[in-house]
Amino acid sequence: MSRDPYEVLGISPNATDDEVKSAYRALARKYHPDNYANNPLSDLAEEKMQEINDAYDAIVRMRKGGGRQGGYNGGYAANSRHGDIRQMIHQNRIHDAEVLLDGIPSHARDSEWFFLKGSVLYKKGWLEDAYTHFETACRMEPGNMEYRQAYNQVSAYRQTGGYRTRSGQGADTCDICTTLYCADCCCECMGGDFIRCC
Amino acid sequence: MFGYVRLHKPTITMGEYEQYRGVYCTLCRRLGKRYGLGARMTLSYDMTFLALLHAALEADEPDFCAGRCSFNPTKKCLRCQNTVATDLAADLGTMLAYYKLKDTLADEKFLKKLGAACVYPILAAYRRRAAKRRPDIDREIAAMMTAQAQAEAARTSSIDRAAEPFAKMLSYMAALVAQDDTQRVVLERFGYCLGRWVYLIDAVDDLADDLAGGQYNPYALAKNLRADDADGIKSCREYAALTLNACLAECIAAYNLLDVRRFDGILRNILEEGMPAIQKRVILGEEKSHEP
Repeated sequence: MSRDPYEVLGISPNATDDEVKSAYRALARKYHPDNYANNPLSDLAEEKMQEINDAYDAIVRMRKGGGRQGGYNGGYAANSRHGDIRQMIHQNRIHDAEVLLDGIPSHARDSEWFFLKGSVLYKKGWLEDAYTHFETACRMEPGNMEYRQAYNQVSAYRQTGGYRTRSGQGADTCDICTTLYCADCCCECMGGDFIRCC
Repeated sequence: MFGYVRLHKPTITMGEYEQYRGVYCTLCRRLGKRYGLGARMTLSYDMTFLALLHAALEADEPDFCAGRCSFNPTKKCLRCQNTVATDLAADLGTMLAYYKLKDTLADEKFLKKLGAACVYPILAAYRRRAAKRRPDIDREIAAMMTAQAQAEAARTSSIDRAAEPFAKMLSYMAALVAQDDTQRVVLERFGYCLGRWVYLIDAVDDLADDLAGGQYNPYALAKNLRADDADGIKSCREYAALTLNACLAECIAAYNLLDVRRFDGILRNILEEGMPAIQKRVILGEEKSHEP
């Protein structure tokens, strides 16, 4: 491998096993294929994921002489009516796929059509129409995990925005009391007093 | 552009803040050098962001040195000696400012038009100079601005369609700073979603004004709003928050695939804290007027 596995995980070679594991988990969460399902950048994310998996494996091997099974391997083997269009979408030939999809008359549009059209729209960045198409695909075929996953991912992004949400920015009453109490204890240690009654 | 892409001051570190100011000041200075005093008025947070992104990807260091602000010589600030990134941002900012003004001349009210008409010849001269430096880029921006005007004139009710030209323009601009092909692909997606976010947040911000004045607004048409429909406006803002979240999440996902050489803390501060904070204020209707 070209890069130092520790560098890939962003940790120092002296990191403890737990630190290695948590760095690996954080990165794996960040680049997990679920975050990039239908995304035009999914192959890049996959490469990253592979790199992280390899780095983690290498470190574990170096440290224990053992191996690690697993790592993420996604992919659905669906039997598809629109295999050719799927193939195009997979190759990022978005425009061709869209022309073919739009050529299918509206009475022949099944749940897979809505899913594929949703994928095309999503790759184009038309996030709102993509959302409604995934929604329709799920409604037409509620048991299909592929459609469900796409829908869940888009709607999770809509809900959370993917950024950190911070809670409790300011000091609450509890913080203030604790701080005062600590300050008082410190003063008393040094022979003074900050709050007379305690 | 509109000044929504900016820092979240409460959580940025002092050092990062200094560096951000450094890029901001350098951009201002380069605008002055390349175009003249008036061009400094086109300085924006958005173009600072682009310069920062460019500098973050570049192999050469920005080479900060100490300097002073020429508008306020008592104020010290950092300055980049490597101006590749800020020069590109200065040229882009000048062109954008011109095309935006042209847009204002075409469809705003009389008073605004009058103001715009006064500045127009100056910006037009700057734009000519910028176009001479980078003719391809100027052609692209002009084409996308025309597409934008057409989409709005057609009064499309599709949010996706309305946002497309502007999103594509930012996609194009972001791709300009790519250092290799892999980065280009990531930056195209990043720029598209960023541009979409900027366009849509501006639309939410203008929602009340547009409804009152009868101007085009994608959200108003998508949700069939009327100016006196207070409940409708409220639920439309909630809906808008979802659409904006989706753009932001896509932006961050693309950014995660970008291996920046520096300024990661600043860029993440903007993407993960600054933009969400501004989005929240806009949704609540507290924003309006953006530059300092």
